[in-house]
Amino acid sequence: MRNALITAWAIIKDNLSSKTTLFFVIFFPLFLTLIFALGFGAAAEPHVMVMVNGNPSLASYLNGTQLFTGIVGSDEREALLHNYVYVSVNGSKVDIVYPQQDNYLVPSLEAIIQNYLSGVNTVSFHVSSQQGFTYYDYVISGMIGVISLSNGVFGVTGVAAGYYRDRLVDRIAASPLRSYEWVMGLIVYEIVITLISTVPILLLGLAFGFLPLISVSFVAFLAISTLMFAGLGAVIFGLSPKDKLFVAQTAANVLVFPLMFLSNAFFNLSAFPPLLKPIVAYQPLSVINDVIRDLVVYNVLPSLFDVGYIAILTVAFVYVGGRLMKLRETD
Amino acid sequence: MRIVDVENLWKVYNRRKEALRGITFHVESGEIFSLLGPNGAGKTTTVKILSCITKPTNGKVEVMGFNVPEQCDKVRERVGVVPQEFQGFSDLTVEENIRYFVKLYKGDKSQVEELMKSLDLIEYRKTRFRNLSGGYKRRVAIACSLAGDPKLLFMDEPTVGLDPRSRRDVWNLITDVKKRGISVLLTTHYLDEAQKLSDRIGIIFNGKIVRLSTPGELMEEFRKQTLEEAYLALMESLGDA
Repeated sequence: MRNALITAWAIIKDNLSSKTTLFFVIFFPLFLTLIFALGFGAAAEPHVMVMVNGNPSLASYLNGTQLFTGIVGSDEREALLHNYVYVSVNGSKVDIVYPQQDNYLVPSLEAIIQNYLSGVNTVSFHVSSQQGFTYYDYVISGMIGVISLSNGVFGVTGVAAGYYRDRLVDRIAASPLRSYEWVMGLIVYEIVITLISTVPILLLGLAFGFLPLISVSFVAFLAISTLMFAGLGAVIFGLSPKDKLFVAQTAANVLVFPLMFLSNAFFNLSAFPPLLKPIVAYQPLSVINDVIRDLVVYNVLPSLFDVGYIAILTVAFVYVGGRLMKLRETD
Repeated sequence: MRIVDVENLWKVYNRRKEALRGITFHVESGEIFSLLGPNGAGKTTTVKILSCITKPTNGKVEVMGFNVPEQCDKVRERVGVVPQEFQGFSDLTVEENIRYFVKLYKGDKSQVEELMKSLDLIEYRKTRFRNLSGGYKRRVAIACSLAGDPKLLFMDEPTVGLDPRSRRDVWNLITDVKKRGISVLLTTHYLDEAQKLSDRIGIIFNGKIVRLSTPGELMEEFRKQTLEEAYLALMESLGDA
């Protein structure tokens, strides 16, 4: 372990002394967050979104009003997180939960729903507002998961490829450093830069009014999720031919971008086509985002399934990555 | 005493390409032994096997009394290596690079300072590795290879790509290393270098050792004034003119 830490320190210092690396560690995630927060934030919504539970045809009806965009869903928390109005219809009882800033729209919405349900004798409305969450809370917490993904996978494949290309690995391979220490050194580096990258994102979040709940469990989980993705990076790099290093980086790109965009990092699960929903829901980044949101946004204990799922993947990827990413043929 | 002992060493890549075809040689303690030969002859493969990076396909290899590959952990702790075109951590300073290797080889802290002094690197201690000239990068490589006080050094083409003055500097450093009682196995295709530095030479051609002798013996055998001329005459006799 001593050699792994010595190596991690050398890699950290080497990379953080480079302006290019600093750009990718600090500014690139900030740009990405800004693009998503400003591009897809509540201000950019052309219509007020209404999530309807219990009456799909009401969602279609709302779409025809030109005032509201109706979608079908049952997750009230997710709806409010996206600044959607949430409508739950149960016979003649209608519950409306809305973000506080949308209170001026509620009378119109009530009238439209009343009109739609005109066949029902008495419609009773129960209306409440939530201060709750904003899309910024959602996107910034999702961005933290994205950072662990991109730093973990690209970090290992990119940094290791660079050291192979520079032939530093030739020298290290002849030293007493063991292969697993080398992999651990790279992984520790990825964890450190993920933590560094997270700070400016959270500061940006503050500017958008997002007050994250920073806890030891959040930091620990962020480290574990980076460990998992770094393990995945080690698997990719270990399987790639060392005389064709571009293969590792291409494979990392091919894997990371679909994982990033087919996840709940920027868009709610309900925004995806039904065929993709199971993939989006259970792919590792979405599960990580669920846990991160539970910890930093909702202040609730994450589900045991989510944590266990990530723990198993972490052990599997780190073990296989450590076995595949050999420094030398003799290991 | 033999510090390196190689017998009938074979290396076959992908079950087809025979890089080494049964080479046998040894290195005596305290000597500079040079492996010479054209590009692709098998010099680097030999060094990679001896420094426990690549597995031998067949044959017996002993380094400092330890079997390769079975006892590679012990070999790696005791042997210094200067690989071809050594690159350190490019954004670490000279001092940080040397310190890293001293720590890996469990050397004493004071060794960092000693190595920088003995290799004239004090002035460059805060210079990033990437900003050094080729000659100084090679100095750092040698400093790193001496971390942990090895008794044996493998140097793979240590002067390739250097200007004449830097080459001379590296030669002097290799001579100094020998004076410290360190044995050196050197690969090179610069014959003047081999003639100046080597106690004994082995000429490798198409994966086989075709001559084992001293530079003087080879020059005498072909009645030539320099090792380069003798080597060319040997190659001609082997059909590689």
